[in-house]
Amino acid sequence: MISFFILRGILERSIILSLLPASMHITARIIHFDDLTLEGAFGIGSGVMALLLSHHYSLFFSLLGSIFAGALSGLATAILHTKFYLNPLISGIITSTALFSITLKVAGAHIALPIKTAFFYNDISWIALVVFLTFFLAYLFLKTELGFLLYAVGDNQKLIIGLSKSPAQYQTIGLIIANALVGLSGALFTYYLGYFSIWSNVGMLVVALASLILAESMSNKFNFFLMAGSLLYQIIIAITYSFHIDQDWNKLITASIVVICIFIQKIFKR
Amino acid sequence: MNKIFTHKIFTRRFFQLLFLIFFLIVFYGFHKFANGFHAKKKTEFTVGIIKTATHPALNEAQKGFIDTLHTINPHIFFIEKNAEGSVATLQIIADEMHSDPNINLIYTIATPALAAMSQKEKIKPIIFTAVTDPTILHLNQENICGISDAVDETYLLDKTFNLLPKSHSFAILFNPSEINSVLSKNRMMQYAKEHDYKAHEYAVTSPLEIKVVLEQIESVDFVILPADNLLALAISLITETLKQRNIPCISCFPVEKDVLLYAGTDYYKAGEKVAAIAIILLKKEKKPKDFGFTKLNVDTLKYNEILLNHFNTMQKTIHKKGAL
Repeated sequence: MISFFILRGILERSIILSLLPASMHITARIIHFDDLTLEGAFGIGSGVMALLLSHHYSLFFSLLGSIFAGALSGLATAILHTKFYLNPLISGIITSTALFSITLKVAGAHIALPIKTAFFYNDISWIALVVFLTFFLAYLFLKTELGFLLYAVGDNQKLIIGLSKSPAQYQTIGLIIANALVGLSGALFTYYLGYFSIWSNVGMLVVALASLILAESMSNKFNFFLMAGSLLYQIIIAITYSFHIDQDWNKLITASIVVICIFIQKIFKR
Repeated sequence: MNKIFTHKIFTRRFFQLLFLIFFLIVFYGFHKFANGFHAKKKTEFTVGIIKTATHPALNEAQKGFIDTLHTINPHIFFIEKNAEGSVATLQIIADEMHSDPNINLIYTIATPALAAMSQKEKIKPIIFTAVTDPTILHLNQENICGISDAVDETYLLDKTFNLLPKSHSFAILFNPSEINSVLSKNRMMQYAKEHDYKAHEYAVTSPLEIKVVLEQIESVDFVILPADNLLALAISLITETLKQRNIPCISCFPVEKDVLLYAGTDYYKAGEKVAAIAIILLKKEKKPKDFGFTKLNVDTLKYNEILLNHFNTMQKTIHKKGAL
């Protein structure tokens, strides 16, 4: 049953969660750092948002808090990798694990957001504006000198060293930016749900990765196709759940639709 | 500008996207066709069921509900959805349930499902079970009613101290990432403080940690488990380990064997009771606000005689040794 309400839901979620493939594009494709902090950063972003909103801080301040928390988690991963010489994957996992406890301490297991604080409650237009603006800023940022140096860290570290600059420093910057995006996404998602749950970040890594892969079947660059990828993934999920069949098959259906979508794209590219 | 927006490539990408959208529409048409077979059945009412995750207790709540409604009226069609623990998926399901005009009533199982559905649906009646405390969700809608399954911990602890009169300390195993578990633990700690017993709290957040934590527990007279999904899933591990260590186990949810005493909700019965409300709501004889939030009575307090004798003699001998 396609209705306006379902389409709106798909659009809303895909806009909010499109920051995840964007973050993953920065880490995995630009600085070539396989970052698993994403799930933890999403959790801490939503936790900080819920905490600040429930203490009646302004929406703007709460969003900033979440972005800051996300950025800090990126910094933690970067420090683990560059100063303690841990493998990128391991440092991401460690940060994510640690962030679970921190989120639990910050926001508890469950917070229902006070609806009165949220002035534009469930109004997607300003959320979309925030996301588009963030996307645009990130897009512009990657065109600056610093942005190009981030590309260089991933592709050719010797170039960075040749310019007498530290690759570790640029990896750190990349991770901080990527996870700040995730923190923002987590905050917006919590606001959209109207409640915070410690489990709301479960599966976000898969959402990010699948959206990124779908986006990459359309374009390999950092642009608004990342949003299209996210939209496609949300459509796939919605279709999966609209089947009136045994619910145990859902994940299999999702997986097959993703495979079919990518396959079609590959055929087209030939 | 980016190269992607040069004319030729852009057109190609545009057609690729168009093809994909076309494919999705064809697929959706097929899926509508597949779902059409259900709609042809003679149905009087349609009930949407949202389950938060696959879990024995939640499955029981669903089974009890469906069985009862089916015997009362065989012409009820059920749309069953399972979010498998994902909050994002719950949103999709809630959107679908809200926008399906055929659905007359929505049955939510466990807190996250209720939270998601109550945000979306303000008109169709929503009923719930397996929610310990609906007040934490700040629900102020008139279309919600249901049965909460809060267990009276003080009553259970009173009973336990009656059965094991020599005990003076206990351990609470709880899950800090479940709000119900934390609230239950707090009430137990309060009880211990009031009655001058020693209570130790042990937190577990994943099945892996349970074994480790159970081995840490020392010098307590019994271990008590609040109603919690994680503990319920790992119950056989918990009872087995505690049996080896000779520590009695008390639980706030029904367990088949190896626990000394349990109080708790029979989720199948809870499903049956909710079904009785549901049939009244479906016939529009009463409104959801007439029912409100009711609590399931804790009448299933059961204890294991053999274990009780065993632990009582054990406590007595320990006591004697201590006296000597």
